Amino acid sequence: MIRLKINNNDVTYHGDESMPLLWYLRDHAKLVGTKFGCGIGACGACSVHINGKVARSCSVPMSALNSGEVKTIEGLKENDQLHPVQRVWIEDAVPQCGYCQAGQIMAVIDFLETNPTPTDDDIDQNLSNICRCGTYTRMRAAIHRAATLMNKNEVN
Amino acid sequence: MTLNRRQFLSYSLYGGAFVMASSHLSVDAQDANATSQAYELSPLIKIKPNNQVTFYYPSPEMGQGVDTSLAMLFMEELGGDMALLDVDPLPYSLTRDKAGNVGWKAVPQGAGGSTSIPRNWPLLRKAGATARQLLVLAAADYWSVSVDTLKAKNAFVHHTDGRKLPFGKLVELAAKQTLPEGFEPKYKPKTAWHIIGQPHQSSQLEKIVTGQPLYAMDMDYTGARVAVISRSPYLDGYVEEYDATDAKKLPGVESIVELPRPNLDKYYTYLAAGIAVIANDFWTAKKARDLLKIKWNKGPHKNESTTSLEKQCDDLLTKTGQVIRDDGNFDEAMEKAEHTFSRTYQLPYVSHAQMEPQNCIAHVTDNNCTIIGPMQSPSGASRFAEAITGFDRVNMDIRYTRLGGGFGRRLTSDHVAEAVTISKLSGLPIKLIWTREDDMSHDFYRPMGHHKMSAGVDKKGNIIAWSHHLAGTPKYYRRDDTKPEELFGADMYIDDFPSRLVENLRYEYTPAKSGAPNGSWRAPAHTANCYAVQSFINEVAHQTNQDSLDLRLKLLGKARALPYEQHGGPIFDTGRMANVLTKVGNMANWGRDMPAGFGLGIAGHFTFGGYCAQIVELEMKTANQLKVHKVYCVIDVGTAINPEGIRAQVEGGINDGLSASLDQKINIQGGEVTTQNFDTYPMAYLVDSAHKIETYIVESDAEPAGAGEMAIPPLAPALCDAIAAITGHRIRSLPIKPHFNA
Repeated sequence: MIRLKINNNDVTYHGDESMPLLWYLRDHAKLVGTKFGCGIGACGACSVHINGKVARSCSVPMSALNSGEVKTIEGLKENDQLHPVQRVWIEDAVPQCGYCQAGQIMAVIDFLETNPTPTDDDIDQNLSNICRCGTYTRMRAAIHRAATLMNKNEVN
Repeated sequence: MTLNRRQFLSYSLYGGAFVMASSHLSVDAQDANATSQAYELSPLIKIKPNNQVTFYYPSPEMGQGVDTSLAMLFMEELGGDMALLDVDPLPYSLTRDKAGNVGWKAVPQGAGGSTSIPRNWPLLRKAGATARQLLVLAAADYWSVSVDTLKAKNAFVHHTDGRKLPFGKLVELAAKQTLPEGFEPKYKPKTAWHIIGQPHQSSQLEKIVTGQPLYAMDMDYTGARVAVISRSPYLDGYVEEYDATDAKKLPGVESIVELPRPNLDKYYTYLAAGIAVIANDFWTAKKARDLLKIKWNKGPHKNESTTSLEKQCDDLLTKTGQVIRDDGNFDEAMEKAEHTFSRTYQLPYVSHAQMEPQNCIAHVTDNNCTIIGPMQSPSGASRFAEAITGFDRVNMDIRYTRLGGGFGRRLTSDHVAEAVTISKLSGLPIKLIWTREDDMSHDFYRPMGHHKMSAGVDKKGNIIAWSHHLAGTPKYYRRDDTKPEELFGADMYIDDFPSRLVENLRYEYTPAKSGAPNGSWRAPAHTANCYAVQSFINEVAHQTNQDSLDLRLKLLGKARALPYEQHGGPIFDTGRMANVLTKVGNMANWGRDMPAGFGLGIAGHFTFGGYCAQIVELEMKTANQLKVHKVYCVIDVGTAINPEGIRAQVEGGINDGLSASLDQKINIQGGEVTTQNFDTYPMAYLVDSAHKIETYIVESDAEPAGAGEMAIPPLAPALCDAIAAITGHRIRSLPIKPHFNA
């Protein structure tokens, strides 16, 4: 039996412990914002936060999650407010097909929490989620804007 | 005379776009403030009494922005307010007339070849203008005034005396109006547009960034079981025998079905042979699939490999191909030429690798069929479903969702056919999910091929002879209605540049044999031909000490319209091509001195009615480290419907073009596709993408073209030109990275 928290809700899991978190989220918790892209941890479409750090949920079995805390794209809003990264993503119209963007946002949030004032190089070297639509150029600019916004919020 | 609803329906079928006045729901006319009720003035739109508008976009949205651009066409003529807009995909809707002919209930539904905008440009403006007329008639009724005193704007009908009524208040009355026979709406002049030509963002962005279920992969269908298929790893291979004993024992496994063997001669019915596992969730289905013991017959292509395909193309290029265009006298001109050049450019198979793997929900009951899936061609899917179930496709419930990428992959409906087949065989509602490995090893690949280019140049540097011979796998490889001599049609376009611009010109084609399915990959043959043609122009210019931009402009000559009979015609305007090239040259200050390690490269191409030129500014820090600092891009797609959407497509096209040319190649070994996931098929990451993209959209009154594909073809030749500018090394086979890693 696995006990964990998903988006601050307590969950008890009795099933196959080899099941990746991704498929628990999608098929059982019905949290389908976390996407299936490759199944081998190569594309990042399934990025979530586990204990506050970004992780590729297609490659994390349920067995590794006892007393863990999982946050998905559905759990990002606080006080009904979008996260600054989500806001910038809308304002700058980053998404095209949009399928990879939940994962991109989860990865970017974790990145900005450890790199609050990144350079282009920091962004390029640390973020490795795939976007086939090629929204990267807009994404890079949006990450800088989101950083500014998040730092402002900190000061306030 | 007025038409009743039934008459209007049959009339409209012949008129193309069709708008009917009907109340969508039975509503309480007194309760004008209710928000749950919506009225339909057309299959394309619902307006609620609270003024909320839902537009049903008739072309599948796959990131190309038609959920916005098509709405803009309709809303402009409706006099709507984009801020009040929500959108949903239009359910696939067919009708059958009395003569038995099947027609579209609203407008044609499909997306591919950058056709959504040009096709819908007249249809959706007409539909919007017709719906507007119903609202105006309603206001005329309400106020008992003449329609001539009324105007629709910003979701209100305004009277000349200053009174106004919101659409929401009029919509119920509007739904009861009838239009005079032969009604032809008046369109706004361009000067009165306030939606078309303005930048608009998608209304779906918040749903996307909050993870709402928009994609077929996310859809829940009552009672649906998950199916995964073990498909033949061998091209055209099949199941000789199998043992599902262990797989069946796994708790949660419901059923296992063998898919009928595919008909190998029918392109449209191409399916891999295999065994489907049906279970209560994906993970169980996949685990059970791994427990299947299947003995595959390796089929007719067991000796096919990337090496054998490349050798085949090289061999074919030593012989004469099918001459598909022969202007002047190429051989004689080559004899006379001062300089002659010959180069061969190679392009590999590439995969669509759209981020949402193939999937589809299907439910075949005793008398009907429901399909929910990512489809670019719901029409093709419905034909498939009709063939499999025997049910009338006009009555089927077919819904395309937002697509997690399309790029041509969902023009083929193999995933739909599989889901329908499994549902029919098992009697269960089915959600079929492909893994990434399934997706990449059972794709309809962009054709691979080798392009032999030859040119003769006179003393003055004029190109007087030009030939292009492509030996490659044809996209039409299994289309049973295509004659062998027509196979070239999807891979070489006889009116493409530089035909009519070089006096002695020959295009040749030789089809190569391959067991791999070929299909449409964003900007299909243009990616390959633009790479070969534009790279060769750059080389010829370099070899004859001419500026390559000047050489292009010299070839294009004075502005004139040349007939262009393939998709994207009817004309190719040399002046518009020259204009995008000249402008991009000015933007990038083409010809400027670059510091060591930096270089510029150029290319331009006409794709499906749009003109696009690019200059890549590249830095090579080390021998194998590429950094694209900037891409300058000028695009002319005629009347720009949504500049914001065009800009996004240019940026995406450039990065997608980079991704494909840098490191993508599908490999085949022993009749199996061995490149199956992103570990062996590297996509561009942030680090590979263009750091800046400067886009200029040409102002034009020409008919609008689409914008989803034009920015891809020029990128690879421009990038290779920039590499040559830095290193002196001309890259003549894609992808690029292996050249540096060797």
